[in-house]
Amino acid sequence: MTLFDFIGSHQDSILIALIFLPFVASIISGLNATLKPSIILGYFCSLCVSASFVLACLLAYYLMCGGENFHVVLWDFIQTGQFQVTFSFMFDHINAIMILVVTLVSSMVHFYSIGYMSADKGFNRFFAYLGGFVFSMLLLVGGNNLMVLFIGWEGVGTCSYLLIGFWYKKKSANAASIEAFVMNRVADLGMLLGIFLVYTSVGSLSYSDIFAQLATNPPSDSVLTWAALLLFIGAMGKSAQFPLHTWLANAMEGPTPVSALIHAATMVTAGVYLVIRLAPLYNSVPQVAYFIACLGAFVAVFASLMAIVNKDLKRIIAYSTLSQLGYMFVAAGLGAYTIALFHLFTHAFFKSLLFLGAGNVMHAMNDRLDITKMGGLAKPLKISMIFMLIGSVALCGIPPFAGYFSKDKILEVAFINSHELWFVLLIGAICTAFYSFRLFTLVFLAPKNHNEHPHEASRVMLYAMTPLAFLAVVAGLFYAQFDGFLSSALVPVDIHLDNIVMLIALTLGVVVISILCAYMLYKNGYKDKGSNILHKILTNEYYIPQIYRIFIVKPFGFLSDFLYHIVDMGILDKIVDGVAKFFMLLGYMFRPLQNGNLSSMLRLMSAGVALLLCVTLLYFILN
Amino acid sequence: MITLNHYLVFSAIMFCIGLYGILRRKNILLLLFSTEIMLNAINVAFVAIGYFRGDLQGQIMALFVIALAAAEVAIGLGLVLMLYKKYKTLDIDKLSNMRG
Repeated sequence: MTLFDFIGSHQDSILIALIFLPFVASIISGLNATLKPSIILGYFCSLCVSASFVLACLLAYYLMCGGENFHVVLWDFIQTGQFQVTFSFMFDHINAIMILVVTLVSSMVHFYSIGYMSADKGFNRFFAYLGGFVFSMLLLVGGNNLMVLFIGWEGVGTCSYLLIGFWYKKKSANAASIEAFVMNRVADLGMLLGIFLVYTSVGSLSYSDIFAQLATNPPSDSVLTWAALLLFIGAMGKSAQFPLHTWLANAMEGPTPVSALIHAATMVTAGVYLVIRLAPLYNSVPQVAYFIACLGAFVAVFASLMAIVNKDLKRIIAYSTLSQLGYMFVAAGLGAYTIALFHLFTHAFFKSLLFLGAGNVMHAMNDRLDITKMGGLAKPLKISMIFMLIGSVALCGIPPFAGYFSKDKILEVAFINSHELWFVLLIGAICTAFYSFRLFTLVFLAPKNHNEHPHEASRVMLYAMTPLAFLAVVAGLFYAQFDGFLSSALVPVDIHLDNIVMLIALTLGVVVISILCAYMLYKNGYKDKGSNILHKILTNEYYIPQIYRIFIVKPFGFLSDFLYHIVDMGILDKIVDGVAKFFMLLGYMFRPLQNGNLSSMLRLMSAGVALLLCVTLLYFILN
Repeated sequence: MITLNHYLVFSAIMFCIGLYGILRRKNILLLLFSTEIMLNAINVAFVAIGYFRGDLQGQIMALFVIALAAAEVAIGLGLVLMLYKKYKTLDIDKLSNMRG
């Protein structure tokens, strides 16, 4: 029996094992959460997730060799009259890519965390949350209907909340976790309404039914537009697109592996996955799709400008993630779903690599994050520097690194569709190159500006980064295979441009110039040159957090205060207290009845008998 | 001529005396006495009614009540004795220990 036949006959159990292995790991480390940290447990969880990755590879191999997509129905989930949903999974060409990315990055981050969290008391708890996250993420991408996707969607939100607030004694971490959770709740409302609308107009939540219905008997245009928009609001929250983006930068309060896994490689790309998954829906509403592209382009520049002035190591990378998500949305919005997925694929590797490198730097600097107070780390952190360099170059899109292939494709697609979008994205690319090398130069090459004694990260951390670094270099070379693999699931994108070489040369030219500028400006360290108004706006994140505080948080606080002090304490509580007080009074009045004094009790009894006699007499008289 | 009414009035007066004793007295022993008076007032009424109706059931009932009263006094006196041994008093105001 060949491997292909073997996988073909066991595909259902392989898929279920793949999805539930991280869950098992999570439960086991959750049960040990209060015990003392155990490295063995860390390795066990990492191996579970790696096993998931191996299984994902097997299934992907099966598909690549011509295997069919398949569905696995676990059980009937909701059966109420008209509304019927099954708890079921699928494996097709699109989510194969997602599952591969998620399990690969997760297992690397798991191994990295063994080193990164080794000194933390919450080691076991951390792995419990991390495993729970991977499981939820696999539900999200593995489900074959919107309901299972939504369960995973909420699951990753919860795990993200738990992990951002992992150091729960830190006040800022708590605030950040609550902010992330609440922001996502707001977006999830839109998502949920979108799912309802899809159900009421199509009558099913499974993807295949929805697409079949769209092809044969589509609902009216306005319904489709609303459904697409509402679902995209959910995607905006999860992928931190403007105006729901503020939580992502604050989410950097969590441990760095979390930022690498959740807030760079996997969870935040769930929004992009949703749009790609529902490609037929977004294809049928071009105006919404164009809106997505415009918003993506806007965020790509909007976020990268903030990254240029920020001084916080992790926040810079977080803004960079935001802007790269913007690129993905541009591609998805312009109908180049394959390219969006390809950028998601390459971005996951180099961005998690960058974050893990940042984790090494933080370890060396005793968790200090201000890049203007670093410098001179090139010597002590040589390997980390090489990894960060690979990540940065890939992010900037210099060939032959991964980012070049995916990002350049996005630029080309944008150029074909609209020159304005292309120009905005080009500015984004210039900014990207500038901030990544500003960060790199200030951290590693600038003169030393601190009193720490930095040391290189532990072995296991560096080993965990190696596969990611390798992929950040080579992942882009497989675009042709990638395109071929997805051609059956998504419409392939043809790029016909006469002057494509000019375009690439132009992009590369400005990017390289930008990199050199950043290097020249910062190679002698950071100098505070006073701040003009633009700088001030950018360092304050366009004053958006302040605006939210004034226009949303404060009024909401006032409303809550009003409801609490006046309505709840003043009216409702008074009524409830009044009822209680009335019975207390009654009790006071009748308490002497039970004073335990025999003669007074006898007196009462006699009075009762006399009363009864009177009543009886009256009864006889009246009759 | 002594009629049934005389007996019944006598019985009622005796009952009221017993009741008054129960309500006014503070000593448990005297409370027991008062209940005896009330029981015997009822006995008088039973026997009288039985006699005037020519029915033996009234006397039978009275005998039952006497037996019952004897049992009650035996147990009641025992309890009173125990109470006195424990608290050295039979005043029900002092014996009450609930905080009403």
